[in-house]
Amino acid sequence: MRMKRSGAAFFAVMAIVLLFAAGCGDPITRNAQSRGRFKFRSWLRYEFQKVKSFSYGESQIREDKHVIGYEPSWLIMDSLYLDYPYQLLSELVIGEYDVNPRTGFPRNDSATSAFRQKDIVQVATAVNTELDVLLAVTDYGDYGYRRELFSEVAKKNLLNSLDLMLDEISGKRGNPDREKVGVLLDFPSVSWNLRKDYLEFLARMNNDLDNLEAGKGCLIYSVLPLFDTDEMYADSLFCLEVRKNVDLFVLRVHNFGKPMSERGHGPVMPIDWPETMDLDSIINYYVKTCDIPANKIVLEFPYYGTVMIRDTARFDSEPLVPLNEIVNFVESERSLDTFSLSWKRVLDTLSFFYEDTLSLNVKYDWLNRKKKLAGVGIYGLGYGHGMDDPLMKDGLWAILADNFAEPAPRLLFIGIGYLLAFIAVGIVLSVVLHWQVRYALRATRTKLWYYVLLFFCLVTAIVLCILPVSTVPVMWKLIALAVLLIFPLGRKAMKFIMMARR
Amino acid sequence: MASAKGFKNWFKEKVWPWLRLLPRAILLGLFTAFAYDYLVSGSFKLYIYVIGLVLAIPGFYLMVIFSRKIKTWEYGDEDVQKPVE
Repeated sequence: MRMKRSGAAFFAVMAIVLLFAAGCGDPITRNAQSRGRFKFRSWLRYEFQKVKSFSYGESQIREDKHVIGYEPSWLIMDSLYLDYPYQLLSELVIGEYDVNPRTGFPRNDSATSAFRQKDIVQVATAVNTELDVLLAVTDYGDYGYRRELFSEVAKKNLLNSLDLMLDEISGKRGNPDREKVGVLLDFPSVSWNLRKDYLEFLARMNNDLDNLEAGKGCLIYSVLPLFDTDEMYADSLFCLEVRKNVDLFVLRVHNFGKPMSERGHGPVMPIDWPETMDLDSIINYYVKTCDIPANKIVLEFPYYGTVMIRDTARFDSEPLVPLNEIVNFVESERSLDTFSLSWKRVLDTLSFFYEDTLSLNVKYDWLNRKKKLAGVGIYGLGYGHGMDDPLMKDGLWAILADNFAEPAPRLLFIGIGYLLAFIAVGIVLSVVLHWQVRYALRATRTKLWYYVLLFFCLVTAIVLCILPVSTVPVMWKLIALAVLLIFPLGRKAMKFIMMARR
Repeated sequence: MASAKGFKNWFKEKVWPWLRLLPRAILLGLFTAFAYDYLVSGSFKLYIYVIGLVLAIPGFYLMVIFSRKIKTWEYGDEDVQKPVE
């Protein structure tokens, strides 16, 4: 008798110890540098802390949000991509396939094949298996006057090349079927005259590359022009056809280092710009006038700044300065440029304008909460990498996590609920398997009520444990567990202990 | 020889009835981990399966012990025959 009881107690203690051990092994603390009791303590702290306080390393992008990281080919070649927290990206754009409109082949082979020379796809998808990898396809229209978007031969060559390259990217991420790959089309050359060609090209691309019956999937994302000067997208038929073939729209709110206008200084279009075009009016144009759903639009922000001579004159030779270079090398006090709401650092006659965690966080929050957009894109992940300032180094990722991610699931209470479920099933099993219990319950009605109450309390405790911390706070869970379990189980346990003593 | 036979008897009587339940516990752990992975997590995560096994094995024994314990609480330790109604 005593052996059996001690055996049961041993299993109960083992279950609790294993529950804690299981918690220690979860990914929440897997990346932690510290070991032993520090690791255990950090896990406990994570399980019991408030919902919003999490470090970005332990979070994942929400399902309804997109965070698109764009790594240009020259940054891929620098191998900066090895340390990025890819769990905070939903899509990675590698590039670029700059189309030669006469042949359809890339104009720069080395840029196109950067992903072949480096292992960015393998590294990124090893960290985040859900990551979509897109190839940037660009046509900047700097090839002179064109009567058509692409010739028939060029279209065939382009689509065949993309087909092969997407297969290759998919192969690098280890997929037997082609999935979670796609293209980001950036065709600022498309004007009013070429709009029908563009529609026809999009439909053909969708048909040829995104053919699920043939086991070939392809995501198609498209860059929207910041200033739709021809009002192409206001044409409802054109916009409808584009929407049919495009999965997500990316709106670039930067201009590759050039200021937005003669009056603007910062690298990013300001949210609110009196008397002229601003970000708010551009989004309203696409959402309300063009009828593009807000949850299909992503705003792309750059990790670079602009440089000007004495605030106003254009610095034409190299207007684009990487963010890490401004933060690391321009040693002067920063001040807020009230016009563009970006930061300014002055060095001799040069003024550097850039966005940091504070100004970007305001924009992320605005587009996420107020405009309900799908998410953000980051142009030039490598430009935001390797900064000496610790606040900037991790801060750029932390603000992405704050706005678009959610904490990794907490497993302690789910584990407790799981173990309690075994006890609840044990009650049912005792009635089903043993006639002695059935007879006893039939004979004494109070016992029947006791077991029904115990089962109900256990099921309630299990439900409260399984519900997420955002719905039932940790403190409520603990109080509910104490009330629901100590009363019925405690009564039985006391009786059991008294019997053992006798 | 005697001790070997004693061990065999002890194993057969005490350990084997519990050990034979282990495959069921493992299967249950794998199944619930798969359900969580598929329905909640949405993608394969090895740690879910490890935690599932680590919790399901003691949980399964807890369930069996608890159900037998209820029988003992309600009817004592006697190995009685079911009364004919």
